[in-house]
Amino acid sequence: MTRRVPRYQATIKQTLIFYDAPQMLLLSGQDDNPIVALAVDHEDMADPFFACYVTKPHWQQYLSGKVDLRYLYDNPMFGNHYFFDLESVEEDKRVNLTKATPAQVKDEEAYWPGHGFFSYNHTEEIEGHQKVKTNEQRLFIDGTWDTTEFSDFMRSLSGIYDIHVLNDFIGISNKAAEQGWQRLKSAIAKRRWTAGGSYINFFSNLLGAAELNNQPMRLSGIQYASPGHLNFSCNKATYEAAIHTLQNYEMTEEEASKAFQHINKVLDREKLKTASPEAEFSSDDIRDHVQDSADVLLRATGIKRPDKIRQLCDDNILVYAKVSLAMFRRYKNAHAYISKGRVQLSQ
Amino acid sequence: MSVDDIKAEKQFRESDILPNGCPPAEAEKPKEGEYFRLVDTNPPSQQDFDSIYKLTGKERRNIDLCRLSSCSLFLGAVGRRNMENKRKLPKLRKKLIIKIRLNEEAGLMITADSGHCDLWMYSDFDPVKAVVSEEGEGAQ
Repeated sequence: MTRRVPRYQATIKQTLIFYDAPQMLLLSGQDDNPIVALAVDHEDMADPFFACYVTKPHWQQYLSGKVDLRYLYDNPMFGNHYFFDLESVEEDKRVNLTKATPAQVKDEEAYWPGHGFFSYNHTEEIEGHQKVKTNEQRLFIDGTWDTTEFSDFMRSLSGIYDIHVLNDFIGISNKAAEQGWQRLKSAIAKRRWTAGGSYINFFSNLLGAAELNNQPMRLSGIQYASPGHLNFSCNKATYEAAIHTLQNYEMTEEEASKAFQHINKVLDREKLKTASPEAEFSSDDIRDHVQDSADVLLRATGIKRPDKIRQLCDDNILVYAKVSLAMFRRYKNAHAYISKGRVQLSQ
Repeated sequence: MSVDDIKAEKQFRESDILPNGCPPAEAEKPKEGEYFRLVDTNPPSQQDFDSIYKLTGKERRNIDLCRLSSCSLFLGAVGRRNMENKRKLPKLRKKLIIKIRLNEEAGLMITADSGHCDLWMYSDFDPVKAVVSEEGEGAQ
């Protein structure tokens, strides 16, 4: 049996910022949680660093540029900040953390990072963090657009993109993927599924929780004119798979729309739309039909292995059906812009 | 010309403290152009270009001594912004940004994708004279 690492012990993983000397370090602490540490001046130590534990979701957000370094220090896991002396590092790269006093924590000028420092400012690449080169993609737009419509369309499109990140992931089988798989399962299990709607940001949050969002789709430019265009950066292969499914939407639309209506109708009738995952269908037959319809919806959204999504939902057909509805809604919504001639996938 | 050939021919600013195999074989001549550095004094002094290892005489466990014997710079057009961002870190907060012009005669350098450069200067290169502008004097 391996002994749990005490919270006050950490192991240096690597330097993140080198400027004449290490200015920022990444460490690993209890339960492999990341710890960030900044070089500071502190009279009692020869080579002092000011550190805090970071939750894994916050770490992923930081790596994808969604939050800055200051945010990590503002929201430390366990609520504490620590000092350690790099001079006292052991051969095995272990250091002992000393809890900072409230007065020390308040001394922002001496110890805290300023606002607006993001992970792209690191001088060193993060080991094991696959930095995939992003590609600039472009969609063409026409007609009149309200600002809310831009965000509505982009939300649907990035949801579809996230679904394809998930689709790529479920085809992988290795040890790292197994950990991601468990994190996905756990993120789905934590949801109550009682909102009954589109579950906005569900897929991006899901990928974040599973640490699979190392290359999210990002809007990088808008030229609003008739015609105009939207530019965004993302993984080219994932983008192309998402666009391919959207292009084929009309081929599967009739069958998928029937399945969509069927699930909605059953969930309404059985009062399950806003029910929690523990709720049950009134009969096994009804449940099995809903499962069949959910399979149809997932295939229409380009998911190659609906059975894998079902496993992620712990074989809970109510949750599985809600996930399939949430996925299909994104296609339905994005395709509405295409069918109205307001978005062209290529010129 | 290999790094070993260059080392046989040229003296480095920190020659007396450079460990074996330093600068590393992948180090190259700097591309001619403008670079940015954070310094303590205005106008900058020779000490502002000394390595941490030279200034402190202190080795650090688990940290590459060769790198500690180099001088950090940031390259080119994004260098200024990069420097501004680094000043958000506690130890670099009070530093001043200067712009310096380097050519192939400055030393040997490794440039990372991030734009950060480790420079091992030749002893006959005077970085103070190569300063183009100081903080508040167009170092942007």
